[in-house]
Amino acid sequence: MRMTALLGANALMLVAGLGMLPLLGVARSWRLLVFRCGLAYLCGIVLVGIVSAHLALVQVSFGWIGLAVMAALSLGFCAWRLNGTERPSWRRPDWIAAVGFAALIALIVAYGRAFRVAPLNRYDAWAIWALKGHALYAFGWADPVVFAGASYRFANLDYPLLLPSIEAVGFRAMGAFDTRLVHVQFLLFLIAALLALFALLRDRVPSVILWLSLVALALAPAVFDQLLTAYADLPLALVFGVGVAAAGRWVITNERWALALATFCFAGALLTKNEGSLFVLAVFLGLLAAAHARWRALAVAASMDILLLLPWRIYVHNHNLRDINYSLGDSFDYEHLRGRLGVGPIAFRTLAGQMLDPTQWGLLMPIFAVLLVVALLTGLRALPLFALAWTILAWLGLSWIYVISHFEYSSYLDSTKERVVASVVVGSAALVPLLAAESWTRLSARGRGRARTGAGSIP
Amino acid sequence: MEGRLQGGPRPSQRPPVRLRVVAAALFVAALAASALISGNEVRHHVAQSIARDSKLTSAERRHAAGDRLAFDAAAFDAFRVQLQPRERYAVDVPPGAKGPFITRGAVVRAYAAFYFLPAIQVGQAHHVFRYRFR
Repeated sequence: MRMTALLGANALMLVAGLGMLPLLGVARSWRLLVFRCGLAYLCGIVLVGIVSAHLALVQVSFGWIGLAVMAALSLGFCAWRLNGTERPSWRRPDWIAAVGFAALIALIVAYGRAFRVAPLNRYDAWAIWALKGHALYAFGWADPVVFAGASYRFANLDYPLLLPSIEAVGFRAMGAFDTRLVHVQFLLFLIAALLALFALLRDRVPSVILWLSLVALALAPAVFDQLLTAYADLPLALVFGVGVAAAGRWVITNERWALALATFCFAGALLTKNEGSLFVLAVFLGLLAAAHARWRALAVAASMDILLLLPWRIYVHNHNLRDINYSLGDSFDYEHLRGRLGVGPIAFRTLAGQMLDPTQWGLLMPIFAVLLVVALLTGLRALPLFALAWTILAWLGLSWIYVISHFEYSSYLDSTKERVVASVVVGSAALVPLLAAESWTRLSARGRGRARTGAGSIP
Repeated sequence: MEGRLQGGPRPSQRPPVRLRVVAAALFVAALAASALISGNEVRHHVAQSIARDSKLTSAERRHAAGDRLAFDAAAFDAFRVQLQPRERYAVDVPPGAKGPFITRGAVVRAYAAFYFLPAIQVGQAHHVFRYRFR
């Protein structure tokens, strides 16, 4: 019964997400809405997360009624916005896509058997995320007695509330704080992200490359292991990864909707975890490097993200909440840094080792690195520059956190190294299909050009 | 050397399609290898998780976090039944051993905060949860 309720709530999130597609400009007709409907589920989860997290700050609880209202508004908006536009037409199913879907369904069913029986026993999962989700469910809002309470400082109170809010929506739907089925919501994050990547890239990337990339990502042991811990790192990585793929598409095509989608996903990332700020900053700097002529669009996008983060930052400021792990202000504390600068290279190397570990991520990062070189060799500039810039910046930023932290670095690094790299790896993996397809297109164009030139030179 | 690097006669005589096909085949093989390596690894993780977790009773599941920390589940359960939602309580626990980040006593306070919700932990209260390490 509880499982049905949780799935029902997620179905309403999907419907709510459908309305986001015309709103973001992703779908300007019924045909495009159907073609890109795979984005709806992730958009719906992020939308519900953002709305419920913000409502939690003003004493408004978000449950079945909120979901139903949002879904109804979404359908109404679709009907109004897409009225009279091109209808979808029947297309013969792509057999590669059919095989890909079948493989993913089989994988999700296998994963599901583990997720629906997992216990909530990992420290951060209960001490941070589920505790906050339970408090939101029990009190109906981010009551400062817990969310700013001195006895709850251990729970990283300055972390934003998107994930606990989604957990709380699930608890309200189920009518109970269920520490077992909460894991299923994490698996649903994976489904949403895979569907989103498929819908986002299907018209730019050959089917076989796209599906192999998606399956390689879904099978990565770190994806399964980290989702099962019910930590926020993988949900952050998945939302951020879809944003990175959308941003990569925008770099190539300059489609406004792709940037709008990326901005929306980055807002979700910012509201999932503090580290999201580092990754989103890295991506915007990468976008600026790769498409500096389009700085106005980037400035608008960055402003939207800051605006969506603002209510939470005001709450944090009003209640004087601090990060208990590190302070960015320590970047300017010479006395502190002097003794810890050696930590930087160690962290940088250690994180590289984690990203390249095939028992965690398969060959995703080596493939990404080789594709970057190939893309540059084929004459592509903007996309590989964007990819290279944000990954290096994010990697350096993560390493810097270990430098400025006051924790003993080896313990801190050992306990977090596996998961902090998730966003970098998933974001990079999300760019693999685009990099491959664009390199292929370049090579093909060169081949045709060379063939024409060669033919012309034959006497 | 310069002539060869900048496009001597040899490369232009090769069919341009060969390089593309080889590159594409290598890329697809690499992705497939990644999926195979990951799949071979993850299937053990999935099987172990199902085998380990599907046998848990509801009590074991409820105490899973505390059991992992070797806490006395009975002490937490006995105190929890006395609490009302939103009731204030305090925790009296010795600091205990120092871990890499916080003391064991601080972990007890954190676990109490989680386990006793929707009761509210505060610094001082009439109702006190006393916990001692064995």
